[in-house]
Order: sequence, then structure tokens, then C-alpha cells
Amino acid sequence: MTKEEIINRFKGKFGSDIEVVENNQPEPYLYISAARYQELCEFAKNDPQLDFDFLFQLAGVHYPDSRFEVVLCLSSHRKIHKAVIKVKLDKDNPATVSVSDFWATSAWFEREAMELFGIKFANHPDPRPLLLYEDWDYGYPMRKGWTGPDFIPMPEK
Amino acid sequence: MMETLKEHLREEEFLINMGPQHPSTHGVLRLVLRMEGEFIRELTPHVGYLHRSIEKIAENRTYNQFMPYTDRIDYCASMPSNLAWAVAVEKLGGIEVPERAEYLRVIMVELNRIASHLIWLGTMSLDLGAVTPFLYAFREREWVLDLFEMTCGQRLTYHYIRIGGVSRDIPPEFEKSCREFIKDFRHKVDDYEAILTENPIFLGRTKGIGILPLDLAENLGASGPTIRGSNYAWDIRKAEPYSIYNRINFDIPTGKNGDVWDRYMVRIQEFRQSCRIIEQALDGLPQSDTVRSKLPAVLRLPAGEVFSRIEAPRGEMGYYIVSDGEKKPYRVKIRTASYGNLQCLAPMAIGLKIADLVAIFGSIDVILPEVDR
Repeated sequence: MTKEEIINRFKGKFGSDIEVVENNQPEPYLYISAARYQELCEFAKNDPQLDFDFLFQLAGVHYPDSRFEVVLCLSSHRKIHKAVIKVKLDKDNPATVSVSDFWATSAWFEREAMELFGIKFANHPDPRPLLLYEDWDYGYPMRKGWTGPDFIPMPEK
Repeated sequence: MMETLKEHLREEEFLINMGPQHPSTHGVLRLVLRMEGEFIRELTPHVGYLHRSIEKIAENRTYNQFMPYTDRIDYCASMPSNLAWAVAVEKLGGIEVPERAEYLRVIMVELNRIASHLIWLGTMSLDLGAVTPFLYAFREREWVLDLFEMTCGQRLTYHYIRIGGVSRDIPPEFEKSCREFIKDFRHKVDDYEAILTENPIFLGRTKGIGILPLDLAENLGASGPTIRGSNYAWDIRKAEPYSIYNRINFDIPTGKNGDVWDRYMVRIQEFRQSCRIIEQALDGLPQSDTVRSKLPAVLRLPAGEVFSRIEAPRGEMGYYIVSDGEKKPYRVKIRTASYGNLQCLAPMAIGLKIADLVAIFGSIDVILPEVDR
């Protein structure tokens, strides 16, 4: 499907809950409202026209002034198209739901976002930390402005 | 008699800790295995021993400064890691690459694919008790490294592919040596096959072991030879051609059952396909004075975001970059092939023995710095 067809397919189902990011990239970049995030993932996975069978990656992004974001890069092996789905989360208490029911690979990505960004994923099958060591107690290192005990920021020239 | 024996047999399950320093985990992976006698009942991978937070480092470096760090994400295949970053930045910035540089990139990436697969062949056969292929594989890899050394002066972390091209042109003697290597290497692949492909011990250790069904592979994020072994011809080089792959003829080798043997055969055939690609790229190599487009010393990308991926030796590798128009990226997410492939280990190994786990782990060719980043 082309970029426009994918956008229209999502818009036909979710209407005003979809917000399209304007850019000149060949694949669509969409915001979905947090309330219908899980529903959209289910639709993206199971809809025969979209058929997003492969979750390429799931990333957290931190905008300290306004929000957290969870970004999903989806791809379809059979239809050979891609889409980027984004969801805005609360800046003080970022929480959303796990999508590991639809793509099992998201479990590790979500564990990573959980420990590095402090984003909570409800219904996660295995919410242990993934990369940091067991006694880690210095907050969420990938957040903007994070400092730790041995952290020396780069000097600005 | 049997009754008395059974009374003295202990049947409870027990835990085994495998790694992080274990010869067959190829790096620092820790596996906690719940065993019932010889059989694995539960497998939990613990990763993160090589976590360097490269994503955080990326936020504190300019786009060009981050390029050497990409070498360290997958040090067995630095060229594809470089290329993935270059392709992503060029896609967001709309940067043109000279045609000669595109051909050089393809030559280097495919040579690196051969070198990376040679490490896999050597270490996997070593894990299965065959020492000779290891010695052969590293002998051939030496030649590839010599080619890289004559091109960019490095043997492991190349930093050769740059944003907007490559760092320098190949020396005049490169093409002759590279063609000789390809000619020689085709026979060497036949030699490997003579040692392993028809070896009854190797067949017994690999056939029907560690079967990965296609739907599970997709769901768990497997890519590269791991998903191709499960009988699905998926290759980014064909599906979404980047660089000049759309001008090159090559086939996508696939397996049938998705077992260790199929993944082995896929990689062996990829040796031959890479040889074909390099030959075509050498034949088509255009003459040009420049191999790197002129860019400002401090590169600023337009505000926005990009998601791009390439086919690295282990599978799909890609970056998601958020730019706010400054000279440093706002956020970089690195997605590597081994991250998905390692998640397939547990479903494949459960119900089998530890010796089979070693074979399965060898066959998915995981490299840990890529998982931990």
C-alpha cells in the first residue's frame, strides 16, 4: 500500500484519533490517541490489508517540557510497506499498555523503555529490567537531563 | 530391580547457570536453565553485560562524530553498521552520494558479510567439535581483512563508510586482489561444504534440531538468515533496495524446516551470493574523482524523524533518529538483528539438551554487543 492508502485505512477506522505528521518521508508517521493505542495495534496486526506482521522496533522518546512518546516502527513482510505509529504519554507519569499480545518481540523493547525511560507498560508479561544491573538505583538514564553519581556532562565549546 | 533403582534416582528439577563467561556463548550472555535431567525445561537469557548506552552517547555527539561508535555496535560487521547510520542520516537530510561511493559501499559491505559469516562458520563448527573449519575460516578472513586494511588502514573497526560517501577511494591494487579472492573463495566454500555438509556427525547434530516455525519467527522479531532458514525469502536488499542493490542480480537462499541445518545452508549459500554481488559491483564500478559529497563540517539535519533499515549479515539493522535541527541528534534508537534473533532462542531450545542449545545458539549467530548496545 502507498503512504496515502495506509493513512486512509487507519483514518477510516480511527477518524480524528489519528494525527498525521507532515513530512516528505516515503512511509507514514502517525500519532494515535493514548486511549485507542491498543485497539490500533490490534487493527494493524490483524487487518488483512495492513497486515503489519513485523514489529521492527519500539522506542521511548522524552520531551521534558511536554510529553513522553512511544514510537513503533511497523513493517509488513507480505505487503512490503512500513508505518511509524506514535503515542503521546503524560510527562509526569508515563504509562501505557503492552502490545506483546500482538508482537511478542515488543516485550524486550518495552522492558528496555521501562528501565531506561520509566514508562510503565500495563499487562506486561515479564516486567524485569533488561540491560541495567540488578542494583541499579540511579533513576532513568535515557531521560533528558539525567545525571548520575559518576556522570560528567560534555563540556560545551 | 527397576523399582529399587527408581527409589535411588532423584527426579527433581535443577537450575544451571550458563555464562556469562562461557566459551560457547560468544561474548557475555548468561543463560539460566531449568533442567530436568538432560533436558531443558525453561531458559531465561540475561543480557546487558556489554551495555554501554550507545544511544545516550549518540545524543551527545554530532552526526559525524557518532559514526565511529557505530563500529562498536557490531564489531564483527562494522561496515554494515556504518552503512545503516549513513543511510539513515542521508535519508533524513536528503544527502546525495556519488555513484562510485555507492558501488564501493556495496563491495565493502558484502566483503564484510563474508568475513562475518566466516566467524560464524568457524565458531559454530568449533562449538560442535569440528576444529578444522575454524582454522580454514580464519585463514580466508585474513584475506578480507587485508583488503580492508589496504583500503582504510583498519582491520576491525573500519569507520570507512561516511555520511555522504566513503572516506577514501580504493587503492589501485585492490580490484585485482579482490577478484583473486572471489575466485579463490568459491573453491574454499566447496571445501567447507566437503568438511561439514556431508559429515554424518554434523548432520546428526543439526538436522531437525531447533526448529523455528515461520509465524513464531516473525512474531519474535527474527530477521536475516534466521527467518530465511524458516522458509521465507525476506531480504531488505530485495524488498526495499537501498544503495545500488536494485541494479544487482542475486538470489535469496532459503531453508525448508527452519532447523539448525537450514540456517547453516542459508549462510553457506549467502557466501556464494555475496561473491556474485561483489563481482557485479566491481564490473560496474564507475570512474569518478570524488567518493564523498561536499558537506558542511558540522552537519545539521532538518527537524524531523526518520526510520531506516538495511540488511546486515545477521539480519535487519536500522536506526530511528529524531532531529530537532541542532547539530546533535535528539534521540537515536538502534535496532539490531541479534536483539530479535536472541528472543527466538528460548522457544527453540526448550525440550532439547544443552548440547543442542549450543548448536542452536551457534546457528542464530548472535553477537552480544549488538544486543546490549
